[in-house]
Amino acid sequence: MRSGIVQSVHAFAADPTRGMSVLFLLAVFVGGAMTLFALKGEQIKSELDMHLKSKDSLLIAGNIVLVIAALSVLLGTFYPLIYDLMGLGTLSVGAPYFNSMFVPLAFIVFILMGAGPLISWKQSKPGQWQPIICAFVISALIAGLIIWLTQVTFELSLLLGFWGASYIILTICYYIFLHIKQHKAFKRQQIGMLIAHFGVAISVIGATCVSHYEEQALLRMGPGQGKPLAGYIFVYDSTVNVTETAFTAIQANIQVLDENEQLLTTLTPQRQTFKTNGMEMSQASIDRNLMRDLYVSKGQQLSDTEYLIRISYKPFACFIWLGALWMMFGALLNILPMPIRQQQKQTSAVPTPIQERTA
Amino acid sequence: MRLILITLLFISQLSHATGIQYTDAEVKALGFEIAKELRCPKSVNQNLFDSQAPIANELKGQIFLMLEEGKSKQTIIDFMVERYGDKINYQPEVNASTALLWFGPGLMLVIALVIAFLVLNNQIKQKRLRAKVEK
Repeated sequence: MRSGIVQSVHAFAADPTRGMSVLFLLAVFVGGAMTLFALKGEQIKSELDMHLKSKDSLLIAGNIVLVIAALSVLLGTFYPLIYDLMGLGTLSVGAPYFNSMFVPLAFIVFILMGAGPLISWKQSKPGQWQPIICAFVISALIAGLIIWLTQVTFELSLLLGFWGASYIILTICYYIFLHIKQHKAFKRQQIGMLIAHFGVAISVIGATCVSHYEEQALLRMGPGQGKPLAGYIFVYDSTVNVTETAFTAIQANIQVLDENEQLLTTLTPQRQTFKTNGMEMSQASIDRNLMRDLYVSKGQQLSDTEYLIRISYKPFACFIWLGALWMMFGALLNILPMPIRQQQKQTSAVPTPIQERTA
Repeated sequence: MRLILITLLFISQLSHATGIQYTDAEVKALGFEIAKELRCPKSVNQNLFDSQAPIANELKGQIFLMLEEGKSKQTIIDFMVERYGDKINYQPEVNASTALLWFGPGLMLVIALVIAFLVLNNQIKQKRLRAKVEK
């Protein structure tokens, strides 16, 4: 599985047995899709019948930006390797680089994504662009207002995040408004599209909040010590030894209290030592709800009773995953085939029974 | 080890002799920010902030110590790069040899959009021509 040339971000497939199953999955999905394309590719022909100002060109532009985003990941991953091979020395490309590439690219996709549904196929009609520009300006004001009200240090990715999300939501609302005003029925595909686009907005809100409103502390803690953070109080209760089949662990029991010192939950981060290879791992403990994730992890021992503890308050972290679920659901609505009966109804109003004809 | 103890717990007790005067909150925010941009020399693919390796904790201590001394973010990163090589910096600096990395995606985007525009425009024109001829 691993050649060891490129250090992956994830170390989940360090042993070769799991690598085989990943390889198998790749063969099935990528190989299957490629084979299908090779067999049927000839049949895919499209007659170009469009103008530059149309839904079609917005879709093409969106796909181009997504491909460039994928290419920038490829570039960032292999650049250190090429750099080294060319004898220029070693360097690391990490999160700061990918963030600075992805945030602007994602924002361009959001602009296209909000506009797409409101523009006609083939050629845009007059008056279709103005509401989009309005939504774009209004959402900039909304984003500015949110940043101003929450009093957080300004960063470009913060502005672009809220701007993009509120713009997408505004365009969705306008789309629904137009449909209802014109008494048009929603097709299943349109509902799927709206759900998926809304999912993108939800994910972006989650990601923006986690990156800019996270509160965290890195501190030394032992039994009896506490730390207030983001409206919660974290109290180190006790240290216990845990033995499982695969590992032994030193576990910290950390109580989470609310502002009135009522016990909410107990978090149990562990420092695990695996029996087979002696590898040490930190297992964080997370308390999750819709509004925030509380994350506690436990580091090395600093004295007889005290450990290095990291506490994070991650607002709206759940939104990232919920948004993905919305996107998945929306896409499913679109790709699932229509029931055959419904198709028949649409093609011919009165189906002729086969029995009659043969008889 | 001692560095961590000193810096994490008694951050505010050191004197601000020279350089920039940070508030406690600024020291914390900036320290975390720098720790997230530097790669742990020991743990594979972890930044200093996430890593629990002893060296990572020592370097985190070093970052806070330097912030207390009033050093700027750039000075601290330069110090780390000088000590551990370019590899420690997750955000490579922009120079001739990294120009392709930093400007590559933007350039590719512009080229791809221009090509798409030219191809589409060309096809649309041809279609109109054909329509005229048929008439």
